[in-house]
Amino acid sequence: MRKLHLLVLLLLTMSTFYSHGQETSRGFIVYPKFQSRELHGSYGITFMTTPRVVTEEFHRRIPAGEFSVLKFVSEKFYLNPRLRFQFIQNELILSGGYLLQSTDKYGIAFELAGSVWAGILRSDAFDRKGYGFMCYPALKAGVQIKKDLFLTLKGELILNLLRRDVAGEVYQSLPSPLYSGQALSFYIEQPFVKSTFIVLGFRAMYCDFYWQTWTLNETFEEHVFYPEIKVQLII
Amino acid sequence: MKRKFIAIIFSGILFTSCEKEFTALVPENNWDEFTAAGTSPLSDSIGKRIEGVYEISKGDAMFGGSVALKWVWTIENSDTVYTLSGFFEKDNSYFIASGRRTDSIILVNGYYRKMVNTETGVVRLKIEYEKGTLLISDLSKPIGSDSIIITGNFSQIGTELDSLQFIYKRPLRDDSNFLILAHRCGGRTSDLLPAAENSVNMVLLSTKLGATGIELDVRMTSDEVPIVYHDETLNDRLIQPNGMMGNIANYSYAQIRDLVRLTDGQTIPSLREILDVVLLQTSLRFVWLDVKYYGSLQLVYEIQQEYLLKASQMNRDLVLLIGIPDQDVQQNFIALPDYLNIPSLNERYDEIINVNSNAWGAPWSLGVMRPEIESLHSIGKKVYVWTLDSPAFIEQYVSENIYDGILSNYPCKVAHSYYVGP
Repeated sequence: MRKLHLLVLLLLTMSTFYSHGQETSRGFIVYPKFQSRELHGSYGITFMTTPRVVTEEFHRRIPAGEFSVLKFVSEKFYLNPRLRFQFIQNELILSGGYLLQSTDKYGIAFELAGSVWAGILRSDAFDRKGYGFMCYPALKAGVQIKKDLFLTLKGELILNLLRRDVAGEVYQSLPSPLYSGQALSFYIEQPFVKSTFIVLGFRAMYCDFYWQTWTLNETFEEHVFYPEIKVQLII
Repeated sequence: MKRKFIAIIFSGILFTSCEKEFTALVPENNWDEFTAAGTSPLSDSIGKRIEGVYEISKGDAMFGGSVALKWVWTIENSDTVYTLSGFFEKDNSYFIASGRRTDSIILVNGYYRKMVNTETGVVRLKIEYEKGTLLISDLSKPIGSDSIIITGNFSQIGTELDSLQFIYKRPLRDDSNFLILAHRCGGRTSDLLPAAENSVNMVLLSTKLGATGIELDVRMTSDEVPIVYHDETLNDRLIQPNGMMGNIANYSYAQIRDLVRLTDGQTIPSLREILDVVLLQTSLRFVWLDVKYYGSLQLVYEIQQEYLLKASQMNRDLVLLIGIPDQDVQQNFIALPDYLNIPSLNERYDEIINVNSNAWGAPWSLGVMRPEIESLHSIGKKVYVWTLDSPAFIEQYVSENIYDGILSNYPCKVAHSYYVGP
């Protein structure tokens, strides 16, 4: 919890500095609604709690930094590339979406994201490299609760297109099942400090593989629960 | 609309906050024909003749194209228990069964488990008189390819029976110079085996899972009793919740023995208890004592010497090595008198010569270190790779044919890859 408090403090400080130079900020980045064609973004951090069935006694919240950019190319289509980084392992997500419904009160969008993840681990006991390709078709629906309060629900399929592990000179390409699992996420977007908005999210993944634990070479094919907490500031 | 949406979101939060508890219970298997009057247990000599590599001609979609059958013994409740184990090609799966016979037929009854998931079910097999029982019963006759056909069925709990057929192809590959090492006495609690990791029952299970040796974790109680337990703390991953928590080294052996139960209800064993089981109740021929605490190794050393002497007196070929995982444990190891003559296994390649360790515990994650392995082999040292679990990597490392043993949480997969290999 102490780390979470420090993180919020850090975000608060960063947003205060940032907001000094900014007159306006977007009210949302996840909520499915067109605002403008300007480029907008967010930065923040996610914490994934390692499941015991995978990591045993190592039961911790693992942080990952995240940058996200949103660009509406028309009033219906948008692009939303994201980078999730932990330095020794990172995921780049290229995502596009289409607004199916959008009113003053609610919005519905379909998203399709493809990602590539890669990791390198070298130490006295490790000479590992790994990479893979994932796909996340998603449907999200949002409702505007108040003028500056947005709630979004997102359902995703998690598809594992390819995964390759290398140990020294030995490698394997895993013929994992295409369907890896699914995720359900909830996001609240609201004002944070001055004109800066914050995104608070919770993502519940049930899947048989999560790229952040690729080094463990988990062979258990059941859908394991990976909870993820997200805190982001919209810039 | 808003209220409905919020209700959906909070229902979703409630739903997705539930973490599923996985289980893989051993199925009940009451087969009347197996226990009918007129049947008797298979003798050791007959059971051994069933061993071999079999092609799976029915059921291959479920278990892969081949199975290695191995006949093993354990002593349980003062009785010798014979088990026919099968190690399948696919999904880290195995079966464990017992055998009975009449004059004309051999019956095999047990259960299978896929360790990549929670799937388990019954296995019932027969060897008809003309399809192998006659040949198996005649101890003087050699067993050749296609001379035994085992037929039967399997069924996942709650599903219809499905056909199985095995056709004998060749004997198992000789394992006298290769060790199938099972992690934590046989396997991890998280893999939902029917015994808790690092327990007495897991040692008994280990040979049925294909192991010919085990690795175990040694910790020390507050009153200096070496016990076998993996984690630094008491936690509900390994024990039944009872309010006790914190560092296990803060508790006395009596407290641990009387108040703590592993997830399956067993007690946390002392090192002596485990070594008694290894020596007196199994055919295991190798034990890797993975030292998990920092302190004097004198007691562990004394127990090692005591059990090596016992094994020698029993004419048992038992290798019992003190594991040295890091610099701190090594400091405690070299504090032992005459440490250069104490059997040990070193996880650090550069220190093997300095400590005169008998073996290198090579991390699999470095890849196959062929030059280093050949260098150690040239001076009489052994190399055991740990802890290799990925089926594809297990097959590759076995096929490299350079290791003296492979440590895995899935000894059944190592057993299949090794026994079926050339």
